Amino acid sequence: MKFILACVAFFLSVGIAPASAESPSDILFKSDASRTISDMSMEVRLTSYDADRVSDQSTLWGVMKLGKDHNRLLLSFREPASKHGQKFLVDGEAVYVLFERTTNPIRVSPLEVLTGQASDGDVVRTFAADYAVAAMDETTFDGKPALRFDLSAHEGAKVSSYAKVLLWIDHENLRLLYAEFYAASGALLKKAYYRDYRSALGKDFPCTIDIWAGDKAQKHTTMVFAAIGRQVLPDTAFRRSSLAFWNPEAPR
Amino acid sequence: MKARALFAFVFVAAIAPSFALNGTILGDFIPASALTAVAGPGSSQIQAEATRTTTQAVMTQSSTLPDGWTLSGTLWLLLDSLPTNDPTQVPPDRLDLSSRLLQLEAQWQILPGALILDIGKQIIHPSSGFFKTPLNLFSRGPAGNVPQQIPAAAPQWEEGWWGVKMVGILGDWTLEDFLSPPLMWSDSADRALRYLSLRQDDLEDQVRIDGHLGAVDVQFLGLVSASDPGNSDSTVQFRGGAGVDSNLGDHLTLRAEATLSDSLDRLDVVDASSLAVADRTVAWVPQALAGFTWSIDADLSFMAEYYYDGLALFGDDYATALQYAQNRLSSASAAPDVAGQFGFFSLARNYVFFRLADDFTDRITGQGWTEINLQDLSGMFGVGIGAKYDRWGLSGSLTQTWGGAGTEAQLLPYLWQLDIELSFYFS
Repeated sequence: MKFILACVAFFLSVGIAPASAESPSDILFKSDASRTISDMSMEVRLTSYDADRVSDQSTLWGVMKLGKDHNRLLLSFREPASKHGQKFLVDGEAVYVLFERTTNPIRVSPLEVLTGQASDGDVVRTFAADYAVAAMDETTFDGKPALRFDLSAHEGAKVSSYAKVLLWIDHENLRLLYAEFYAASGALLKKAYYRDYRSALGKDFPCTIDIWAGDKAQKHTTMVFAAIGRQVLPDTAFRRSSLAFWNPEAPR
Repeated sequence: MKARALFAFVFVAAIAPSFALNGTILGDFIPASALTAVAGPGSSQIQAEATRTTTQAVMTQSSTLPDGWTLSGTLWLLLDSLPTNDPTQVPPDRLDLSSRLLQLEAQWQILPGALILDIGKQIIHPSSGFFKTPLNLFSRGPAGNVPQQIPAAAPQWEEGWWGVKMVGILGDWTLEDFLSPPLMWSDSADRALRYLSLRQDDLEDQVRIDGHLGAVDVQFLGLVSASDPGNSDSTVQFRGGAGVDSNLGDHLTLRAEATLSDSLDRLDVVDASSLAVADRTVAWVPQALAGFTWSIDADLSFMAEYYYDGLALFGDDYATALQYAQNRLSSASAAPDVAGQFGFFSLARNYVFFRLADDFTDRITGQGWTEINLQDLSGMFGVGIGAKYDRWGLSGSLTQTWGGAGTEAQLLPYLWQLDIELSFYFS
């Protein structure tokens, strides 16, 4: 019995700890994979703050599909009533919005925000496919050993709203802890803290993401995953023309 | 009767959350000022002011049923103090009530995500969000003709068309066909039908293909319309078009769409002095829009669009139509409104539109816009500000016209217009 437990412990440790032979890209890929849930359905609650004052609140239902080159995401506002029924499709670099009383989704800039500092891409963000690792250093974050990644956008990447990203990943379990997102000009656009990791559908998932504006120090938006489930939709449901036919459901 | 209808709607709104209904009650208070003739041709004009007050209520319900079926419906009600939208023509009955079923459809996902059947009254709107939308080949415009605060916004509510739609999706491409039959009835004998639909004069069949070509979204449309189908004097009209849009980096969104119609009817001026007009059929009419939105940052954006309408007027025809419209206005004549046949501020062939919009806070937005007639350089500009909270919103806009004598701006039904809008949302 002890032997079996020892074997399990060994394989688990191999599964999550960064082996020294692994390249920085492999570690980044493994970190992405450790928290990315295929066919994830979700209820997301967004709360925006201006200093300590709540400036906006909303609730969305969504479904995410993992793709070969990029992830696809469907989102729909449930609350507030003034945005109820508004839908989004994030398909790589293309973002579409469908207002409730219309049938034709409008293509918008990836810079469009859901509310506060949170954009559509922040709901589920991975890095390995879209960014190259320029450097990886060992450091600390909040007193814990961490790996600091310096990423630059791949040329021709399907999703690269930011020219440069700095990531801090927990050295021990590869949890994404903190990220800074920069424009091509070098300006800090936003920073995000990934917290409240919980086990969900076999993954180690950050249930709270706290996103701060780079240039407005008092403004931030918390994104709380209130419910997570699995919903398998066909690839064709993540098309611009399918957005009008998508019927959002609570995660199960 | 009207007060009871509105009271009933407010009551339903109050209990709506218990039945998973959602909707909006929206009131518009629209003071405007216009120049109007005192009496007869050539008489002096005075500045007249009138206020249009509209209250719209909309309720929507959508239910997902087993086996891939979805049912949805939208009911709309309007109380309107000035249905003509013309402050120089205030009707004696100061409150007009209209209500209609805007949409009622059953969708069946025969093969989920691949083959969809949609039956009922549905909104067919392949283009939206732009200053003009040539690809909306057949459109009823905003329900109740309630004015828009911003020209580039989608109509607040629009009435759909009864018909059947079949949608097939394969990979990145979608093929869609919508067939809408003619529906006609007697206003006196079948009054109740007006609550279900406006009449549908023609048989319409619209085919739409959309998909990706690299990073560019493309769509192609073809529409066949047949008036009085089956009869020997039936006329058949063909219209086709294409649209593209794409992002260039994170900041720039580009779009263009164009249509070509084999023939469109137009009312032409025969003699501007005697206000004589004649119907004419114009062959091979192109209409097109091209533009971009520059997202300066997440809050601030600038939009610019150019619109060309081959059916509208240019050169001597444009000058004659302007003269006709001025004579008609100054004489308060009931002669046909030649300028109005093209829509609001749309008599010329060439227009540009610019808009700067900013999210001041998470809840407060503001914008300024201008629309310019490139043929006489007259135009309109507007500024607006809005605040939106969880269950209600308040917005205001001011629109002003400019242009000297002999320009299109002088034909508009107002010199300035204020629009204060209060919305209540429930779900």
